[in-house]
Amino acid sequence: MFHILHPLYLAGLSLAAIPLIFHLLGKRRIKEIPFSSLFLLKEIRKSNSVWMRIKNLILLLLRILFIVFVVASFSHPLVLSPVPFLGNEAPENITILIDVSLSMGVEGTFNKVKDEVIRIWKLFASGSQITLITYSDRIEKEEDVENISDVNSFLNNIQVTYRGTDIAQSLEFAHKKVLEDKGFLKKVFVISDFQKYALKNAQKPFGEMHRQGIQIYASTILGSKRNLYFSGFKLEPSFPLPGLRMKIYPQMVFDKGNSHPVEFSLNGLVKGLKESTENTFFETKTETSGYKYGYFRISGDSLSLDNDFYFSFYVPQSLNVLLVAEDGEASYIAAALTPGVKSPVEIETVSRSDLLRVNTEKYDLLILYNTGMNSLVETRTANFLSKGGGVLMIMGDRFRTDVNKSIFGDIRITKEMNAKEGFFGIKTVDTGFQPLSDFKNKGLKNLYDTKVFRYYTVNSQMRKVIVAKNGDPLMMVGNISGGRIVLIPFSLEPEWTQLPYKAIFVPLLYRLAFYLARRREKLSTFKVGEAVKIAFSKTVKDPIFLLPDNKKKSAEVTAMRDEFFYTLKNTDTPGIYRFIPEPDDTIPVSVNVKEEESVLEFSTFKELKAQFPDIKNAQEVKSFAVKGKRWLDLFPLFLILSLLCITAELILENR
Amino acid sequence: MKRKSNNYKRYLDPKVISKIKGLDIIARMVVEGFLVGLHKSPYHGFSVEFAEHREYRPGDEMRYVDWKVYGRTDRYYVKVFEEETNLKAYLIVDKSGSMGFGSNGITKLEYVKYLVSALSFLLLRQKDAVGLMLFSDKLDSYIAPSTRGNHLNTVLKELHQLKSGGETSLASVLFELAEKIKRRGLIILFSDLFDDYQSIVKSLKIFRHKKNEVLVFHILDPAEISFPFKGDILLRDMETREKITVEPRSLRRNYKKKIQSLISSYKRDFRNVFIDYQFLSTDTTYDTALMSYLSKRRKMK
Repeated sequence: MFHILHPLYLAGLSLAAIPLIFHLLGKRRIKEIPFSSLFLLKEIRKSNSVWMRIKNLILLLLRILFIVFVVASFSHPLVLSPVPFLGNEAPENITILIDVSLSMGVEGTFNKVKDEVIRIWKLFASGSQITLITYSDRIEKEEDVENISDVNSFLNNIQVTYRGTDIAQSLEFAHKKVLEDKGFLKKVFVISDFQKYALKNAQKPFGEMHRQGIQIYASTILGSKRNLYFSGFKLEPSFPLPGLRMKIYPQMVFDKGNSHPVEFSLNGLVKGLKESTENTFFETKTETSGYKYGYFRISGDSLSLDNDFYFSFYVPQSLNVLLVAEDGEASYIAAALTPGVKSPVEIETVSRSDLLRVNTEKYDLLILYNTGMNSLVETRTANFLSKGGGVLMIMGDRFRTDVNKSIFGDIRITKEMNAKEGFFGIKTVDTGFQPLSDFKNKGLKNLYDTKVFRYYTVNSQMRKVIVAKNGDPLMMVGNISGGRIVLIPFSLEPEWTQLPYKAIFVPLLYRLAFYLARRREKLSTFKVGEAVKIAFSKTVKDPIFLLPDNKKKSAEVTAMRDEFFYTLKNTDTPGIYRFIPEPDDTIPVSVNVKEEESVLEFSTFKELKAQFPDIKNAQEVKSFAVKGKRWLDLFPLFLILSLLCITAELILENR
Repeated sequence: MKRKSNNYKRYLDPKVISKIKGLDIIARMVVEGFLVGLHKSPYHGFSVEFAEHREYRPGDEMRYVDWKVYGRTDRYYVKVFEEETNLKAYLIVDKSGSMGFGSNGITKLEYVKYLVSALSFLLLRQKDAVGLMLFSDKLDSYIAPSTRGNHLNTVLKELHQLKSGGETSLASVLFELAEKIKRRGLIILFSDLFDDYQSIVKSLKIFRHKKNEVLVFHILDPAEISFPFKGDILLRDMETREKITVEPRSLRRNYKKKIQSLISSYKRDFRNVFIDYQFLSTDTTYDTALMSYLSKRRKMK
């Protein structure tokens, strides 16, 4: 172990070039003296010439070494003392990185961290320069501390944040910091729970610090691994409409066997409370369309900072359906989807030839009823799908697969006309398919009793959710370029099937419609630390965001084509952030803590040591200890060496 | 009086003498300074022409005692002669590039110039003929020996114009000179002897074969002996302009050994062939050199 107390002095090593320069210049500027005759000298000069060269080189070496030793002595090189009593316990340069990311909020952990900081502080000799740095996915706070009251004051003022961890960035910062500081022995302590996910890019900074002689110590604070947290939420139906009952499912991790109560709030009102998180959902209904927001809240687990989960979604006014069918052909479909005056489904029927004049963007669902495909229909369908729309395709005699390959090639529909004709019953119904999942005994029996006439065979890679007794698919589901498609490969006209007469027909169609309906642009969910970005079609004069604590912050605007993006650069806490484009309009978005932080997969000191060999010592907090080392200052040794050099030089010079 | 003699002695110091302009003055001052110091020495007077009597002093040769005067006065007087000779002295000066080297304010060539001036003065004063030969890789200048009244001026003028340059090729020049000098005489060579050792010795032997007396002044700069340079240096050969990088500190010991070994070799080998050898560093006072000459001259009696 070797350290330089005053490395800047080493710049003086450049002075070693001076003898070299003099040596080279001296060769050119040698004094010329006229002498009577050289004939005697010539005889003895030969041996002298070799000696002169050797001597000059030795002199040069001695002069260079003299400078090197003088410079080295004043830079105070230090080596680890081989003898326990020899040398001094020297002041050191210490940087303590304290993890204040969300996971450090596990009950009791942060107090251990504070104890550890004080314990490390006490290990070092007075005069040591100690810097405390707190970090999450950014550097939170940095302070040089000189005495224990400074340390206590610092620790009293820090707290766990809602942010994730970026240990690599923090190490790089600490690295720069310790390099800037004077001091011969540099040590970096990292006090953290060392979440596994956060160690991805740490190899490089650990390695670089180690290469530069910085000793790295990892102090692992391990908390409880059991943490209940939310991973998301699910809405049923996924296309909510005013007046419809819907179910909201909090998606939980570790909910089995837990009996933590869950609170549910929607639009600022607590709507429900369940005793357990296990298989929990909340039923609710909204009477109005518009943006909805809320939260789930659990309590009683070890990490309380991630116990709130915020969500937001949009409830459209109605589900708009565009039905492409020839005159009157599919009126029973329209009637089935709009059973009453108050139906939230609105249907417009157009013929294939009228499809061109229709703006499909305002529709949530496109039903192609026995529609012969041509390039217009194909293009329109493809566009619709690509924008997230859903298509219910009911085949019939007009449907021709050969013209559909360019669009539907992905799902490879083939239609074989030489199939055996006849009525077939239903063999299997996949209740895992969401629109079919609600049907239980009676409903399913109703479906199984249905017979359909088939006169061709359809093959496809799509998921077969209803299969006829002869093995032909009767309902298939697939995804094409962002949109969903449900294919009923037979005619639904009454002479070909009994299905429209069955009681299950209306609810099935209804469910298919809601399943397929275009997902309203989902409100993005954001993580703490990320920028919140809202797309809005109009310019806003003074765009602001209302933070969860009701403070206002200006939004930054960027324009792209005919859309504007309003951005809130940074978020520090979870909650509902509201963008206010107009005084009476708000767009709420949810910001939650980073899910990885809630996972609590810690690295033990053994794992750390194995993963990062550059870490000098990685121990559990209880047994962790660093003893002060004694160091020998090589100043006198180098000074003696320099004196020896100059003495040897003088002797040789005057020989 | 003592102070005066001391003052004259100052001029034997190359550093002092180098600050004086005019070779004739330098020559005179050096010789006079030398002679003052020599006054009480037994070397005074070697000429055959009687000059004066003086009291006998221990050390004087008994053959110079004038017994007639002793018979008259009961005192020992020795005869002092002014030399009258037909000796020809050939002063051969190496003026190659290496002689231009000087580390202590005076180059080897300047040192030689002052020394040759003084010797010429002394020789001519003793009525010896003086010839001057200057060479580098070839014989550059030749002044035949003469005792004429203004010959000193001729010699000094030549020395005055003397500048170092060219490579040393001592052996070939000496061979050439040996051919040129028909009559036996005193050959005095002034050089740093930075050339092939064997051929130098060999070429000087020829002079000895021809019954010449040979005196070699081996002139070196103190830096050439001690090699005192510091730091890494690039040495440039003053003759060939060749350059080598050396680290003197590590070379010094070996270099000094080498140069001392060279000096010792010259000393030994010249002695073996009866050539007088005098090593002179450019910080050596001139009396050493002049004394060497006198010693040699005395041997030639």
